[in-house]
Amino acid sequence: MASCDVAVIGTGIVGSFVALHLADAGFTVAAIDRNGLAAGTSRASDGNLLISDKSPGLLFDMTRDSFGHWDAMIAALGNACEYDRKGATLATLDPAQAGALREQVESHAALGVRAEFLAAGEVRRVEPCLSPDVAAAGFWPDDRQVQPMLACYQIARHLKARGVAYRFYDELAAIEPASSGVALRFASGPDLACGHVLLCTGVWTPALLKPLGIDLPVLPRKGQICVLERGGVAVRTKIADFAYNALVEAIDPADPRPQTAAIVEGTRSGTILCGSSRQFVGFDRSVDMDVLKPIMRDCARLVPGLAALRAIRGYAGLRPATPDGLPAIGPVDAHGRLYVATGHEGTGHGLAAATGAMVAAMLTGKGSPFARACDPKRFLK
Amino acid sequence: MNPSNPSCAIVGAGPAGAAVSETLSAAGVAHDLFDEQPRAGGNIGRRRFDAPEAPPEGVPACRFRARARVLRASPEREVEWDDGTRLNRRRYDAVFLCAGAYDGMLPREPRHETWSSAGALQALLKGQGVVPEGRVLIAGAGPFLHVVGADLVRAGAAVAAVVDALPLGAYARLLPRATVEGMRIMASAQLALRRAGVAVRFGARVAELGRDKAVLDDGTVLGFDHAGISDFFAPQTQLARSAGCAQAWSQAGRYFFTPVDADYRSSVPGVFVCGEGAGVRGGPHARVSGLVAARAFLGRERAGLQRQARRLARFGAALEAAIAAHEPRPRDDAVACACEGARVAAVRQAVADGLEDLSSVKIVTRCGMGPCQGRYCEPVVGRLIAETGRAPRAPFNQKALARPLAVRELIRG
Repeated sequence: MASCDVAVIGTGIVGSFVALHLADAGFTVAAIDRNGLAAGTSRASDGNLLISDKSPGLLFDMTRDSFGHWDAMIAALGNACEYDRKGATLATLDPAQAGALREQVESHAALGVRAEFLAAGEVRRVEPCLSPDVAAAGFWPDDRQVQPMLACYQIARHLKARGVAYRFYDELAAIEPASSGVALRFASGPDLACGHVLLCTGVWTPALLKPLGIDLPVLPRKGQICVLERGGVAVRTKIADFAYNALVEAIDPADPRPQTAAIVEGTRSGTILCGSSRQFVGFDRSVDMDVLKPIMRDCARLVPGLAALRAIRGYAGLRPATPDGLPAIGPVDAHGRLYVATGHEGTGHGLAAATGAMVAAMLTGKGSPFARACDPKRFLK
Repeated sequence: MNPSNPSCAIVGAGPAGAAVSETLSAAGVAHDLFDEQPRAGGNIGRRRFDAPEAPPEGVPACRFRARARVLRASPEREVEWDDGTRLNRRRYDAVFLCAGAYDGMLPREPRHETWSSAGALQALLKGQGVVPEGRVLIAGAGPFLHVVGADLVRAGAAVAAVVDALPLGAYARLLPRATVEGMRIMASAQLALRRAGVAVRFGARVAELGRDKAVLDDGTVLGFDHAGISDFFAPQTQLARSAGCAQAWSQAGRYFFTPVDADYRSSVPGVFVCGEGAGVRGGPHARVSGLVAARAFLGRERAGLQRQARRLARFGAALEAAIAAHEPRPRDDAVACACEGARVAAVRQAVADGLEDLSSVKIVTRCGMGPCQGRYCEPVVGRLIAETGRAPRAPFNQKALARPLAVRELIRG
């Protein structure tokens, strides 16, 4: 049987960074995907690396840590993934929200994150495309954007050149953890013996764990994005409605109704991405025009110029959501051989680099300051 | 479904759609017949945009919705269309997707704005009455070139030459299976081209294509102002995909198509795919496939028509194989995706990196992300996977919008 130190299942952004950090730590790594590259949630993502929308706490700290690891990856591998420290603008049309927005700016500034409060008259200095009706905004100059799939591809090409095996289109048939390691059996390819296995499989993780009697509560939280053609609208920063934050944090898996909040951003290719929605409707990844409609209505209120453009694509993805809104990163089996790295909800790109570093630290015995809060065993009986 | 009064949607009023419409009309079954163009008949058969109205526009059971862009069909047979002023949706008891095929040109470099597909010249002529000014070169492979060339000379265009890579011998081998209708169209095209004094070259290829000059492989130099190139055909499958119909890759035709049963039923109940969508097999086959599907929906006898359809499909497959045998191999530096500017070399690299499904190639090369949504480059990317001997695993993933849609309309709609 072929063997490796660690098998990383899933080649999305989390799996990519986990594989990269494990290879950097000296492990022999196999990267495996049942589809092509990053075919799950990463492929439907808008590639936001944001601290502006985080309340101070674990996700805030992890995001900060992750920014450093993203910078390090770009420094080492080059920037072939449109990594761009473009800044984020949180805006509100509601004058009553201006105070809360100012508080968020101040709380971040107090923690050493660069952030600036913009009164109504100053908003368009930073982001000229915003509506004159915007009552107030905050600007976070260090927030970043990345082209998510190109980031995965860049890491994959780098690792392949270093001898890491990538196995695409190979579906796992069985995971067999033991005290000495884990045997992986596949639907088509040869079996693999691994010291450790990392499931970086997002919302599909519970289905892989179920046959082992492990019940990890990761639920798909659907989101949709509408892509607009290149046109006369220049979107300089990443723009989000200030209400976005509250939306992310309100988790009610029993409620299938869509919640939407405007997010607008330009891409390097010139198209404009408009989001976003959150909805618990199982694994349905179809695009729902009834959800794109309020998304575009909200976006065009913040950025009126969008109304003159044409929509060319819509896509939907499934964010891996946990009951407490925090990721699940760590071992799940009795032998400490089978790890998961999932539950990043809508902030997988922001947290992926920190996740990779964290997994490498755990497997080399160094430990991580985030390990306790992210321990998946908090969900396991 | 109300069995006594079913309602059907037919998308595309070419030979397949018209055959479905006729059959349903004769049975008194109400149906909407959608076409993007102002006139029915399909790309090859329809009259010009300014020709007088004629059936199927005037049949009582048939509501002909001209100039209607169907954006998507759902697995529940809900059809969404844009009639030019607003978005409409309606659910039907059966949907017949008869959207035809399109032709394309394989990547060449450097590209010039004087080039287009031969089909695009034909569509401009018939849809908007645009007659290209100056000399037109028609080149590629297959009988379609001659049809387009003849349409152009009949409209008064100056066709410099028709250059067909298929040798006369290939046509001779196809002859025993050809239909009378097909031969009549080809003969009439040849007559029109000859009368206009157009040079028709069989078994000749364009070795070098410039802005206004083509050099054939025998050294002949041809000047032109517009070039209409038709290297390949591919089925329109976007609506079938939006409806959730299973897709398959044809190694012979090098495209994705919607597999159907002998009644032209797709994998989705109530959704029929007739004509080119089920594999490019030509107009005569398209018509019979529409008759079969409509009769299947009505529960009528159709065994004879099914046999006829199989025979016609064999001819279409033989023609397709002959055209494929003359296909040029794209160069590394050529642009694979015109919308995004992605090069053939980048696609070949992604394939060498182990990616065998089109969506994975798309996300790392941007092929298929532009306004045309991969309509042009899907056959190109598919070929660049297929040339390694591996069949592409899956087509570009389905996006919501079959065609661009104004944000204002989306918000209002």
